[in-house]
Amino acid sequence: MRRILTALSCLLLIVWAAGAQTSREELLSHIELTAGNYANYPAPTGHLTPAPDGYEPFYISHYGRHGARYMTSDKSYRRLKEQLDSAKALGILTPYGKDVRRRVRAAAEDAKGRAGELTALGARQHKAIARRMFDNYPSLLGQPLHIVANSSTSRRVMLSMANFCNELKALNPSLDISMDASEHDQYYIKTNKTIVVPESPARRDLRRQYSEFKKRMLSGDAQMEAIFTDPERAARFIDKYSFADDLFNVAIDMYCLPELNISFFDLFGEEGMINGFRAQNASWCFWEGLMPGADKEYYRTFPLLQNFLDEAGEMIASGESGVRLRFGHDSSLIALSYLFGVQEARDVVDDFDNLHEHFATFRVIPMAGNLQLIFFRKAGSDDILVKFLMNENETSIPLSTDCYPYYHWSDLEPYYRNMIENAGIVYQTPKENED
Amino acid sequence: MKTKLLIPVLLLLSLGAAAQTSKKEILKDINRTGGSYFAYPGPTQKALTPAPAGYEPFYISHYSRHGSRYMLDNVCYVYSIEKLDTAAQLGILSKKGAAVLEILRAGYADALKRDGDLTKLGGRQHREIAHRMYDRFPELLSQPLKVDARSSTVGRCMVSMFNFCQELQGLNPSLDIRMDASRGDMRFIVEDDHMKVEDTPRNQGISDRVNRMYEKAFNPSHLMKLLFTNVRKAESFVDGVMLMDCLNNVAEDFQNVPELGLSLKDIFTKDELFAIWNYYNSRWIHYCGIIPGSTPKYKCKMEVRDTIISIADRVIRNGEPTVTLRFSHDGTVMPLTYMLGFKEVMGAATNVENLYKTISIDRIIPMAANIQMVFYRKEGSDDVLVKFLLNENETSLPEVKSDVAPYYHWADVKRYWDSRGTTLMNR
Repeated sequence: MRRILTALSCLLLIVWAAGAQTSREELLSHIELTAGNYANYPAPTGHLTPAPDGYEPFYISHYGRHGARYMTSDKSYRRLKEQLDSAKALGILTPYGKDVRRRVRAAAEDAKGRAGELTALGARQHKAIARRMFDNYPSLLGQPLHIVANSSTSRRVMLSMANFCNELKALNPSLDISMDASEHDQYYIKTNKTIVVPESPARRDLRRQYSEFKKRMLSGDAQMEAIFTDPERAARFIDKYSFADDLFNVAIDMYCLPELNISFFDLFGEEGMINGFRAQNASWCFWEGLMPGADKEYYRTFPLLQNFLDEAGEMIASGESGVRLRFGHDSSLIALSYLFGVQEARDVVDDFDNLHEHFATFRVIPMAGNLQLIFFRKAGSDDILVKFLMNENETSIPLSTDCYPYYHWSDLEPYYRNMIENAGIVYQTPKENED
Repeated sequence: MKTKLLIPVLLLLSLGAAAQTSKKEILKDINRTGGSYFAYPGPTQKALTPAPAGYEPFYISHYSRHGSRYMLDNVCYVYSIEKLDTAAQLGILSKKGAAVLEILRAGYADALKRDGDLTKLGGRQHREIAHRMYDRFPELLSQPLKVDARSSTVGRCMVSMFNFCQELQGLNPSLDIRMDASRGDMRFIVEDDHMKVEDTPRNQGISDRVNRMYEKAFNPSHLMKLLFTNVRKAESFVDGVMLMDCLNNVAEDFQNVPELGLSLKDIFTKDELFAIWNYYNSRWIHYCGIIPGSTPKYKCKMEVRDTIISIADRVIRNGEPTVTLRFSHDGTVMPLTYMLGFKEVMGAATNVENLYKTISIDRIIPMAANIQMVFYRKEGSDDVLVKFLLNENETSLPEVKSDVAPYYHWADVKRYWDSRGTTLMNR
């Protein structure tokens, strides 16, 4: 029976990952995905369309987000502990509230000195992605290739890179892998803060809508009621919105630490988790500029797109084979996915209530989320085919092709180069002296 | 009373003999004058002493410094390029000065935005050390071991760890390597930065004497004449001492980026290089608190030492073969060798000018410096032996007797470290 259930849930996951549209029923059946950008990396469908006859993979260009991590700061823990301690001192914690306090303290204790760091699960996620890359392209990765890997200078990202690369090395000891994490490469690895973000006139109105929506989704009422015997008294020193926001962040971070066996799901329930997810989902679309009318924050990721194009161009021209690995952050990955226009990251709407039906963070930037471009060539032909994988699932880009999910490099290269050209990117003088 | 005094003096003399360094020896390999910039030379000892019959290695505790790196910032490049460039515009840059400026520009272009980063050579050093570790202890390292690797949170240390671990992983794909670099661990891996070590009454005097070595070493008159056609005019906008210090830093760091093929060593005389090296040598020894009477700064690293010991005890108790790898900084490797009582750091006297005759940092903390403790056991016996390697050469603890040198009985070593720890912490 258990085996059948497992098989069934695997099947559901497959259905899940395949489309880009999200329904309420789907969310209910995979409530863990409401963790959004904290979601455990969803296993890919495993469906890969064979390349057209005679085409062989010769180059993989990869951008991956770090794996599961602790919260980037312990501010939420600190606030929650102080608030719950005060409530305890005032004698206004319900028995359930006391239990929530105990769980918050246990999670905070585990996170001590580890803010922002990669968790054990995070390392496993990257090893698994590397292993599948090897398994899916053995003809390429079985060779004594040179692999270039760069990461952001953030430790969780560096360790993600090291785990990924070590797994490849274990699978093929003849790989020559160079790893680096230098300020020198941050201009494309991370969002480039020297690029001017074009301001949108609609931003103000959208921001107001976003704030209202967030307050509606994470009102904190249910949590205040459940935790305190006298919610009104508690409200005198606790802002219910930030309280709910902190609790929700802690709740979803627990998905990064399965070995802790602590859950706050009961504090939100299905409805609360879905609403919290909707708030955070909207936040990503608004702040990163994916939503029509929002500031185009994704402009800061054009250097990464440029890097993909330039290095692919060089690799094609050289006639060599290789793998290019880059490790960074959700903010770059979501923007890159948007710029490439992959199915999972386009068609974002400015209707906050229905936004999550069109775009869901967990399809794009779960922990260890990644975008892979696989390049194929054919002996005796100049034609280069490229396949796009969003979190290892085949996806589409806004171009027509005669061999989906493969696209002709000769079509996509000018398309993206024009996009960069037309963007009119402006760099502002850095505030600090570069030396 | 007199005899009591005599014994430690004799002991010091005998210790010093083991690691003596002469000016001639230092200058034989000019890169050694880099001191802590010295690119890892690799072991001079090719074959290690076999363990006594029946003893097998079951645990390696490895503690190392990051590999070759770029300078921590580009201040030295910026200052010297600015000054030489100004001189060129004023028409007082010599032909040699112009050549130096060109070299500086090439070095700076490469170093830009790489402050403190591991260089390519730094990565290779760690791969090679890992490779030799595997070759030297194959009976241990070819097993499907758990390896616990931890590094300082600084990027170059982490990338050193990545290179080391990846080499091991390639040699033995069945290794289960766990890497981490957590702020929460730094007390045990690098130092306890909350610990405040009070200055000793004599510290300032010692520090002043080391400072005087700086003043003597950095006499820029020869360099100024070499670089500028009008020294008096140059002196109106160039701080000669600062320029000399900057150029020396750049010159010494070039050995860490050999692919550039750049050198500035020839703008210094051998005597200058030696004096500068001697100054830095004494500065380091003073900084760590190894000179008698100086502030015992090493104390903030005692927890690192004690953690190494307690983990070794735990591994011995558990009995499961394993490897621990640590990646850190010269500022910890150097005091560690002292707190462990290695011959290379023993016998510092208070005469700061002559410290180099007993201790020379290029032997202890070159780039990728490392301490390896290899533990052995014998079936059917409780006896555990341990061997110490400093930069992959067998070394000794002069204050511990052994009937199986260079191997030591763990029980003897433990007893020694316990009392040494207490003595050092009470200073």
